[in-house]
Amino acid sequence: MVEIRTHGPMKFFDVTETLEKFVEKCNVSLGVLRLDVKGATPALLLLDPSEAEELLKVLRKLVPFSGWRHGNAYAHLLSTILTTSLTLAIENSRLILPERTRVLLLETRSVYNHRRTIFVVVVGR
Amino acid sequence: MNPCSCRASRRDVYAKLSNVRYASRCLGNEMIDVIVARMKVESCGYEALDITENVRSLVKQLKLVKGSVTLYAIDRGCFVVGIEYEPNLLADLEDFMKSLGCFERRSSCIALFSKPLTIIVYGNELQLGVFRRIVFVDVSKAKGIKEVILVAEGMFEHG
Repeated sequence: MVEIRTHGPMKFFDVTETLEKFVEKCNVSLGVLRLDVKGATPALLLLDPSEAEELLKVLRKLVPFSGWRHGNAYAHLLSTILTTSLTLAIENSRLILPERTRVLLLETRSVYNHRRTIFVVVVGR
Repeated sequence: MNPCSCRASRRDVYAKLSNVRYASRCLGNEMIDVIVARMKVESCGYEALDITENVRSLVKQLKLVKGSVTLYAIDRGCFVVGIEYEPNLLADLEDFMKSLGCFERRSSCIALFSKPLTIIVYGNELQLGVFRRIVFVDVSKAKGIKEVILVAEGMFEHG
């Protein structure tokens, strides 16, 4: 389990290093890392951080902040259409990630110092 | 998404355990098993059903202690999503799906909603958080029995 403090709305948090340390501690050289962020509004993404702003523009257009019946519907809908879970390969005790890509948590809600929990499962040998 | 007349009955969702497929492999001292089950959902063709308790009950029945469950729907116009099950939010989801052309089965909708949903299981419990539920969404407008695939992977209590 990995816990991080977030703030928002629509802020990215790079959790790659934390996950890499987690994998190292597990002593698994070959296997799979499964992630799931707890909650109904956050999202996990594999993304080049330099392209994060561009993605936010697209997401804001696709799912506007206001005009919904449910108060923070935009946050729920974003979490649903992006994803709350990821699966990554582990090789030589390191995560295999696409070039320039990081594991980012998207905090969609207007929160400050909010605790987010990412469940981590490592399977391998 | 607004409920329709046949939504009320919770008995309409069940897991067909006879169809379970089982595989296992040994990793060091731990046994990792994979179970594939099919859940049957009786749907009126246009509804959003909260299937969380059905999945929870299946996880308990399978005795999955720690690992993950991955779910997805296989019928056209059907999806499994993680979302709060609240009437206003379901109405917003319905509007959003309409705007994406889900009822016309446009690829933009299918690409965004048809992803498998993975939930971590720890201590024989689904780790969903407070509000997130597992919701089966059917916009096919075709009444009938629909299927949800459930892949349970991890360490199971044996015996």
